[in-house]
Amino acid sequence: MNFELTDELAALQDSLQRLLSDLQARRAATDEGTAWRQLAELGVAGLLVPERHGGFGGSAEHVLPVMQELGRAPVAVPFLSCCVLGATALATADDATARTLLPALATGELQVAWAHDEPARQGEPASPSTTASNHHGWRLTGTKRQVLHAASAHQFVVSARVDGDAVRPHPALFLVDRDAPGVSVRGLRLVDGTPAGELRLQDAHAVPLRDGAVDASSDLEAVASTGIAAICAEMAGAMEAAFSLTVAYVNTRKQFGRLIGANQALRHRVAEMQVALEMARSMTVAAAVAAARGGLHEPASRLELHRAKFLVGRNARVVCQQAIQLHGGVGMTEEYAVGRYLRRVHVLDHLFGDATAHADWLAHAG
Amino acid sequence: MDTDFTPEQIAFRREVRAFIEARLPATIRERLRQGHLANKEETVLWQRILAERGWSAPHWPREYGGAALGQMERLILLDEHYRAPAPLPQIFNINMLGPVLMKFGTPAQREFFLPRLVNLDLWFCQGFSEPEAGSDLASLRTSARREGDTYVVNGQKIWTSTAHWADWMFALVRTDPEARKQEGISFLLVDLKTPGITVRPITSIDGTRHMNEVFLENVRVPAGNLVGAENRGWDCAKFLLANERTGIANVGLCQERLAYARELAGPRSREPMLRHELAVLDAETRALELTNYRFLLSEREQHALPAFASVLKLKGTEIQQEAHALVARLAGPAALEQPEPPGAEDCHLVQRYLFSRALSIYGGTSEIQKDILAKSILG
Repeated sequence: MNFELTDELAALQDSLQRLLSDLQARRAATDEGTAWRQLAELGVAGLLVPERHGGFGGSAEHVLPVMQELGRAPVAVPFLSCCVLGATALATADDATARTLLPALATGELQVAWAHDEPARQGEPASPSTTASNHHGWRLTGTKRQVLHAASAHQFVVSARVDGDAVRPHPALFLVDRDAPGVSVRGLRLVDGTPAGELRLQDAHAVPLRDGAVDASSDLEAVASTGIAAICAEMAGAMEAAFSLTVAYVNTRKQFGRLIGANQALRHRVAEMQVALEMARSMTVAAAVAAARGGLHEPASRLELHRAKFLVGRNARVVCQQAIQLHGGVGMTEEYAVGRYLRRVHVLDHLFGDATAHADWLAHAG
Repeated sequence: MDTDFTPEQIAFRREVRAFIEARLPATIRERLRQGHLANKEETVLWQRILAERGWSAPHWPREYGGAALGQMERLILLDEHYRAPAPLPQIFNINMLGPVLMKFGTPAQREFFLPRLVNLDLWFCQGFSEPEAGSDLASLRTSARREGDTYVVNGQKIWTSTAHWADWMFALVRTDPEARKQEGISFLLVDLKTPGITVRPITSIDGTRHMNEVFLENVRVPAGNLVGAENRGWDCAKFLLANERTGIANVGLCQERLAYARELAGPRSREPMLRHELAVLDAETRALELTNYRFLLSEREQHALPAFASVLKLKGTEIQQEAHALVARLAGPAALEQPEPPGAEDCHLVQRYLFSRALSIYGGTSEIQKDILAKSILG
């Protein structure tokens, strides 16, 4: 049993921390393009890309410190959508496809976006209603909702249902070029400011990630597993940041002639927040370990991922809500950072199934 | 990063499990499963069996009859005891007094007491709390006046668990009434057969006797029973309280009670609310388990949050209380009847639930734990 980052990862986390606080100080964090280029220079884009394709060959464990730092920082970069979800999906692709795309993804030049959720479905890998058919080349039709960083993506990794006379219906993964005919993107921002978009596909040209568009159910699970672990880490980072702000605030703000942090009611809340945070931190590690070995595909690690997404999601919400409460009025302002973390956590909770959904899966697995 | 046990740890767990399976009387196991706390005879019997392997004092050095187990092995041993379930090594002797004597005791005290503590030839109870000194322990007033080579002790202790089973009591007494609160306190070992001692039962909300009042009236204690220096008893108390971290989360108990709840649920396990409750407790217990290991294994983590033991106690007692409540509810109407004649076993699950309310009161209330935690975070 070991909960420590390797020296290498601790060093990466340090440089990331420095870079992100530097960006923040220069108010460059809001310029997403600049922020992303500098992060990519640190090598984070290729963290999950296999070494033979020019990446670091890491696993969910390597993603943890990066997502944790990104959770603290007010910067919207396509690390999750491209380098975690996209890279995990592309790693399942035929070698020719992987060889073409992954080296450029690893340097940060190529952005791909994971396009799976649909208006009618969200959460666990399920059979998508976007359809794929093959008449002299594959064509996709359907709508993908809230594709993260859709507008800046060069390629989309799209899940679709393959349905035909000769095959049993099954999900498969396809690559769709942003500029292909039949592709349109409606850009939007999520409540936490993350750029996203609705991807509409109308007979859009597509290339299957694997020859013959074979069943990708387990690939979808692999993406969800890595995604859940990454999101837990980002929520842990957001909680930590909201908590630090709160500790600093109650030790600065005075009312009735004394620090508000001298009041036992507030002190006890701070203690309860710390307990919630520690439990979430532990489950974040458990999720990374579970994703790295079997993920949703294997019963024991599947339980672990459900536990983690439930508990981290629930605790992150509790901690961020308490953080706002302890700040009083200033916590309610858009300008002050603490509210941003609640917005962030609210979005993250929804990705790959919210806390309630995971508690429910756990309830039926147990 | 990994959440696995090492092959050595897995082998050790197997060894402990096999030992318990081979040696623990089935009647004890069944009584504990049904919610009883181990009684004196059961605890003594099992502790002497454990002593054969040094496991009655798992973390003590071998020279004193222990097995010198590290944190992980000790936790595994505890877990397997909860899992069985089996009586735990007697905590006042093994977790509290023994380490204090090793650190502060005289060679004569160590030589006389340690073997008797290990083998439970002497049963110690803890004389700390007083009517006016609960969470605010240093306000204690029981006095010990030096007269030649004896202390004359007068005062009252309260909430004294197992005093009615005990041969001896380790007590905090005030030896300097003029000194500031913590500075005039001494740590004394008191033979409960000494004239002037009266032990009276306190019946708790579960209708049973766990706790007592202990009255001390001109009790003459040999000065040789002073542990550490006179007026430095607070050092012993602080050491004793800080020492008790390994088992504080009681993860194994949470896991065992949850497993028992699943078993008791029977056809009710289809109820969505119940399934949800079990799922939540399962996730909470796992988070507690990993947090326990994370802090116990990492000095870096301990340094980052020195009050980590309070995190473990707060969450641990919360989950245990929920698990005991759940089990008592699942025991259903059959568990509502008073045990008359003794043997209406299901009632013990309700008694255990009721007594579990004490978990967040003794050993530092949850509110005190939050104070400690907040002080380490906020100053």
